Amino acid sequence: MTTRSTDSPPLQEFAAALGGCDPKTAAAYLTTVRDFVAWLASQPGGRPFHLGLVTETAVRGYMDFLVTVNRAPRTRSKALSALRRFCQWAVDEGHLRRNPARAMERPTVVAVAPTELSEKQRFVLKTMVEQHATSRFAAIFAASLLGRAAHQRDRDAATGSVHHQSTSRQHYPGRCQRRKDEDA
Amino acid sequence: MARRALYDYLYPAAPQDLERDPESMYVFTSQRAAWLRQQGCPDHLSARGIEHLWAQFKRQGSYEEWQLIADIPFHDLRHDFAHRARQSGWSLEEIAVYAGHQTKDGVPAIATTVRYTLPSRKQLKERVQLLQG
Repeated sequence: MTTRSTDSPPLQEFAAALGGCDPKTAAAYLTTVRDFVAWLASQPGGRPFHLGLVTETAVRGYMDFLVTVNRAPRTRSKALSALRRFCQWAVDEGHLRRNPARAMERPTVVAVAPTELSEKQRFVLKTMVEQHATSRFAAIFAASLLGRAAHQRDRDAATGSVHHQSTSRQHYPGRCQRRKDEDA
Repeated sequence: MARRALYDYLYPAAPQDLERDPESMYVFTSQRAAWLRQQGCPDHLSARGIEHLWAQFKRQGSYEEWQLIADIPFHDLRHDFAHRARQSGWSLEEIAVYAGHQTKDGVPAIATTVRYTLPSRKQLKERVQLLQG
């Protein structure tokens, strides 16, 4: 897992503990925790960083800070997930007695607005593909119209044989699997 | 249409028109596929690459066309597919399996599919107008 030389030792240990996760998930967790540590450093007595500073007040303060800088509910929800994971790691390692992020209420994430193209939009897109697109882009567009934006089939798709293969997202053996609903 | 487009891409009439990197195991390859392979990285077209192509593509439209499509992210095509499939009578389970919505246990992740097929306000309005009494 990629850490920075400026990362504090707890952060580096946390990064090492995330070794089994999807690299993108781990990177997202680390980005959030770094941001949290940076925010903490701007608070009275917030530096140098040590795990004793990770209190419920600090976590709540950071989450409130995200509201004040207009972070979207989904972003705040992801930040809380990262902090919960970080705190849980600290608990498991014996650095904290309880997880201060556990009781924090998750921001309400509004359901994704349903997206359906209008007939006019479909017409314009299809016409433009015929007029302007390269064969590569035309194929990508055609695959996406079949709902295959994230799951493409191999070259046999064009000739009829089906051999499913995910190409835009890798599967890692030790991935932190919950549900594969992140492509929604 | 889809099969034709894929076929033309994979098997162009003239070999010099092949836009795909033939060394790759992926259908849609990155323009830096060879370099990525050297680095030991997957050489498929990335999500960011698709977004870039999509933005480039949309800019080719006329002003009138642009106004209609400017706000459509590429991923909306996938949502649109789910809507059309639903309207064509596909069950949620069928869409889930086809779209690759699965839990780690291999069970269709219906909750994810539902997010793709939520009715729009317009559709709900039309339904309300059909209510009798």
